Amino acid sequence: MATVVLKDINKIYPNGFQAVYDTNIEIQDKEFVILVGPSGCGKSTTLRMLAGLEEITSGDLYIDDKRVNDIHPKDRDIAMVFQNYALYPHMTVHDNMAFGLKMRKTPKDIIEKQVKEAAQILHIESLLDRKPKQLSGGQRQRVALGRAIVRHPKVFLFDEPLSNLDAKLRVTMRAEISRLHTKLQSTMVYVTHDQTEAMTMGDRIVVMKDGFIQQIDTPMELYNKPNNMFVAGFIGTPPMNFHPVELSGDKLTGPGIDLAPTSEQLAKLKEYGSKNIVFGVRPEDVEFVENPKNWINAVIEVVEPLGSEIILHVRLDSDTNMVVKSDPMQQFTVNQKVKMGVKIEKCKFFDANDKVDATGKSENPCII
Amino acid sequence: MKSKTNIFVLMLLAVITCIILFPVYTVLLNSFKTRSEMLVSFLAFPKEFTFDNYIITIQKLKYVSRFFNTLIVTVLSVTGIVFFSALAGYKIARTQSRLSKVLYLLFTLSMLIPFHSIMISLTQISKIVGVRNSLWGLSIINIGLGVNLAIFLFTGFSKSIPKELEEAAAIDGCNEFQVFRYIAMPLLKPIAATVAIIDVLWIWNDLLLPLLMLTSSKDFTLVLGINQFFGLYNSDWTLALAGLILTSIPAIMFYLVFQKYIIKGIASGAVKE
Repeated sequence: MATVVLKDINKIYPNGFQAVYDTNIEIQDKEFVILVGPSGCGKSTTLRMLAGLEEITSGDLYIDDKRVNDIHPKDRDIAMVFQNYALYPHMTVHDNMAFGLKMRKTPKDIIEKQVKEAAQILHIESLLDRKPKQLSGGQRQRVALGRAIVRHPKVFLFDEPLSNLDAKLRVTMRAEISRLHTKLQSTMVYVTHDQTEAMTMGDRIVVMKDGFIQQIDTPMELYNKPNNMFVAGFIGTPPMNFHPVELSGDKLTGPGIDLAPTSEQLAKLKEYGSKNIVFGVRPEDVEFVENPKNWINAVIEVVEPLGSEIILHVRLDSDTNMVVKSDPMQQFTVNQKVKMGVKIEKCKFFDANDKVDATGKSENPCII
Repeated sequence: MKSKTNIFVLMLLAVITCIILFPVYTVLLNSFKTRSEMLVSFLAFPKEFTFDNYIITIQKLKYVSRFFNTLIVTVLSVTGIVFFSALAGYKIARTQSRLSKVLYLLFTLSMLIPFHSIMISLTQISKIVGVRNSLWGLSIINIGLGVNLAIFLFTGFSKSIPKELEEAAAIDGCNEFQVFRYIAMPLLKPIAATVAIIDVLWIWNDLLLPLLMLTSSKDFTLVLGINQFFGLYNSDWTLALAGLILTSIPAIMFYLVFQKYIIKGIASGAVKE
């Protein structure tokens, strides 16, 4: 197994478009790292540079301390699972899985043994004689995984492998890949735009936006201590709610909003100096209690009972929307006026002004 | 309304089929007649079927040796056209450079040049470079004349192969040629079959180029042999017609076996999946 180090990696296409800026990531041996971000954030480009399918404009890429910038993909000892599976349509499942080993001139008996082992792990023994077109989406994805694991590579790369599957199958395969990681104990880099996949699978998550890394952290750290408004809004379902508030005295106020920050929060906010603040509250950090200390006035617009919880879409006095979660035992009706309590100690506060640094990286840093 | 349209279309197709098949019918019919009977009634059914024309033609035409001459030229030419066009078409489809676009344009534009306008200079050049009067020389010229359409078809088809397959193969351990050999070429089979069928029919039945390139009777192809039945003062029509049938049979059989690929090849290349 292997470590992967990306050092000051940049990617500029011939037309001048820069897809990735000064990327630095250190991936430990056996670590499962997720690259996550919206479309066009540079996550797939980064993965493709790692695979050797995309040239690195500047910077250094190391796999197991060996600089691999100029090494052909076949010599990097990596395996990749593609979004559209990329199974060879003219070969059977067996031949698809054996192809990489054949190309490396592995003895036939070892090929058979390793294909059989991989097929057993993924429960696809009965599919070995079929062609890809005779398989369902889930089966194809298993074969694609099988083709990757059969070679025992140093690093596994996954490029949005579950995007083409339906929601239910995606959940199953998510768990399957996590189990595979536990079983194989190998270094894995996984690209997705789905924050749920990122949160549930990764040891660490790299959040990217517009070619810049926004934060690298464990799932819970990202959730609890986001670096900026983008990360806070990207991680969590439903996403964090943001509202501009003003610091006046010891209070944070806005239309229909009255918040009394904790002394620690207040000290940080005062130290920061800016009066224009964006306050962020996660849907689960809102409560419906009698006489809350910190409150927001709202009118319920949509009620979504999910069984285990209720999702409420509410409209604030400031004419902005918020999405909040509630206990399934509570009763709500559309157009009901509510005074929502806010767990202030869990709230985040961000600078309302976009701070644009020299490279053009934009962010609303988290104050506390 | 729909059924009326269908009947009209069917009738139209039947008429067109009759028009196309009529010459074939007359050739087949008259190949079984004696020369005098053919001259008396060209369209009538033979009074007595005779296979004499076929027996004489096989001897006079030197059918076996000329069959092999034709086979050698066809196999060499079609193999060359498919191999070089597949390589070129695939590379052109996968290279995003100005040079590849210019090359593609040159290949496709060359399809607009009529053969007759270049045949004299082609004959002279082939003489100078020493490829005239040989079957392999004729094959080389066939390859040159046939690659343009083939490259056009291969380029279009190659674009429909997902790039991820090649990337997966590269990660699996293939170099660029191995990607072509193990992944692209098997997927290009339908269009390769299409190209092969089109070119087999053309080369097998070609008269003009072999006429210009082959002067020695021992190198003659079947069609060139049949042409000998037409002299300055005398034309042996019944033998020529029997010769045409004998020449067409292998090409028709080849077409019937592989014709399904023509549709598959052209249709698959047309739409990017």
